[in-house]
Amino acid sequence: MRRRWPWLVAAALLLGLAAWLLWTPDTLAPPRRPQVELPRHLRPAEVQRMQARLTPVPGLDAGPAAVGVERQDPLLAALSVGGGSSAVVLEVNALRYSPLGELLLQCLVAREGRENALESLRKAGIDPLQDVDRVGVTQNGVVVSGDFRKTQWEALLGDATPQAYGDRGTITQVAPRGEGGTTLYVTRWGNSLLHLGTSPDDARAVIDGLESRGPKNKPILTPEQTYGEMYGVISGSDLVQALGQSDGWGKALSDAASSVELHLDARHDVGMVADVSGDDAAKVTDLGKSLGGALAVGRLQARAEGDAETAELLDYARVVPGRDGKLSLELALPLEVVAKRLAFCRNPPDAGR
Amino acid sequence: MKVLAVIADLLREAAARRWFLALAIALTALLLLLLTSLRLEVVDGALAATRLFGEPMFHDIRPADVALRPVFQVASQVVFWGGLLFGVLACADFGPALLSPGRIEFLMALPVRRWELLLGTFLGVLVLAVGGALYAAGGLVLVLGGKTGVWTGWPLLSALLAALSFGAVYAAMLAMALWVRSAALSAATGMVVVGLGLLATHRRTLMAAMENGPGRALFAAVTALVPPLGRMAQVAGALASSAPLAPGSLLRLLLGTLAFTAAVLAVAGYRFERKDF
Repeated sequence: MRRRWPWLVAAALLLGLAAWLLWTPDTLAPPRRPQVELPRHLRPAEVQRMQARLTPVPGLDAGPAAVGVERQDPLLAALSVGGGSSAVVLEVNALRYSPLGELLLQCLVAREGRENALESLRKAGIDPLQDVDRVGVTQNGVVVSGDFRKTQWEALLGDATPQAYGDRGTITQVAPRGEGGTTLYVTRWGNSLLHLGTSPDDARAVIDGLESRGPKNKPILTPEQTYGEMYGVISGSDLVQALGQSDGWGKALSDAASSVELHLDARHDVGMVADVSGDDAAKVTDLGKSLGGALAVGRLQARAEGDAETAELLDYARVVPGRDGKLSLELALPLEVVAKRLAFCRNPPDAGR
Repeated sequence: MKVLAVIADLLREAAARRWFLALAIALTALLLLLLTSLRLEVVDGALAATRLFGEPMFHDIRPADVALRPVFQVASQVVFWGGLLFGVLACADFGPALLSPGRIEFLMALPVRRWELLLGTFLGVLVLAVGGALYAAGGLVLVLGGKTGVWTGWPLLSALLAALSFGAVYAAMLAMALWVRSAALSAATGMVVVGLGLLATHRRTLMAAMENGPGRALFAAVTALVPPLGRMAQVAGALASSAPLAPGSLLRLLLGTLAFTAAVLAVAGYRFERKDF
């Protein structure tokens, strides 16, 4: 008779082995997603921030019928002056305390030298890292909001005499420091807003705009668009100027886009949402394809260079085609990649000599 | 060689069955439909537009391989669970047919050992499962690869995993057929193992909800031995979509499933060796 018990012994041993091997906690690796929230709308903290920045429009808030008082964000109002169509705002205070802000600061210190840039401003009573809230840039100049109560304007602007204008404004004409330079018009509005421009008309228009005199300006950015650590709107014509005679997606972008609304989240890794609008829906569709192709190529390049993390994060990048000539580009970049790109400016110019 | 002969015999028998002919026709028709009705526009490696039956499908523009990941993931689940259920139903009769009066006596008269017959039958069914899964997954890879230029082997590996999981289920079906020569009971055993495999996947959660006692101990003991088929399906999906797996865990899962399959086949061997024909 054949011996059959070895079959059972083998079965028992194999079952024991199976039980031991199958005791595995987790088979799937935890998904690695970028630590970034793509900015698509105002977050609760940003709603509070936006509301805190709204102030009654001077000249319109008087009178007994104060119900529905018109309010404005002074920085946004100043950016809209001059009929420009592009403006970009940096939330300096928020950026300063972000990892990206640290990197940019290291850049600034390495290139300019702490003594030259930051300390000079501090000596004049402005600590750019504490007192500056936002910096906005338009074609008509730079607008800075913050707390300038302690600023020693004489130390900063020299002995130029400020001229009072409007209810709360002063305009200071600063002569060029070197030959061939441009006269700078420094416009102050109260102790919270500063406009730097090269035209006296712009300087007056800023104060008029803030104090609601003259024609009402069409806002470039509304308070509801103030989300992210950097945001702005760039018109198609400015894009063409900025991108110049570029090829590929750059050309497609400048050809198709009539405006691009940009929002950037930099609280950890960098997340960007760019909403592109164009008059020609077919061109915008082609632009979406070009941008998608550029993302795919970038991802392949990152993989070829062994940068697995960037390649993985670019997995989440996408172009979302909309209807009626609109599309949205969503992109996340790891902080390490941004740091690598900024490495050139963080190293002192004489490093390695 | 004798095992190979048994495998070939089983495959000949399968070819004569309508079940497998229908499966082959259905898979081929599906792949041909995809081949002729799906239009994918790829720009610089990004899937820019899709048309199915001429109708545009709106989706995000992403790198083609990323865009295809969900497609491969869904396909892997269809292959896994569809293949498992089809296999249970279509292969339930192979064991009882092997033991049918007349045929088994004929086979016993041949210079083939009993374990060779058993192993040959099991491997024959496994070859069918592997062939079916690879045909479905490979066809999809070829169709989508030809249209997008994205060539990936992961869906094939995922299909192999599905076939391996079916192997564990079929081992139990074959063992049951050696006790009771019934295709229905064999299929029912397969379904029970699939059910237990699903329970084993959620073992911890279910045990946490159970009160201490003999029922919980029995549940713990049974589900510790059965391959967690739900987890296998997840892994198959993750493999097909190039998602990361925890290092080392896939090997343990595979080896554990193989050990379970071998253990059940050993029980079947015990039964086959002592059975008189």
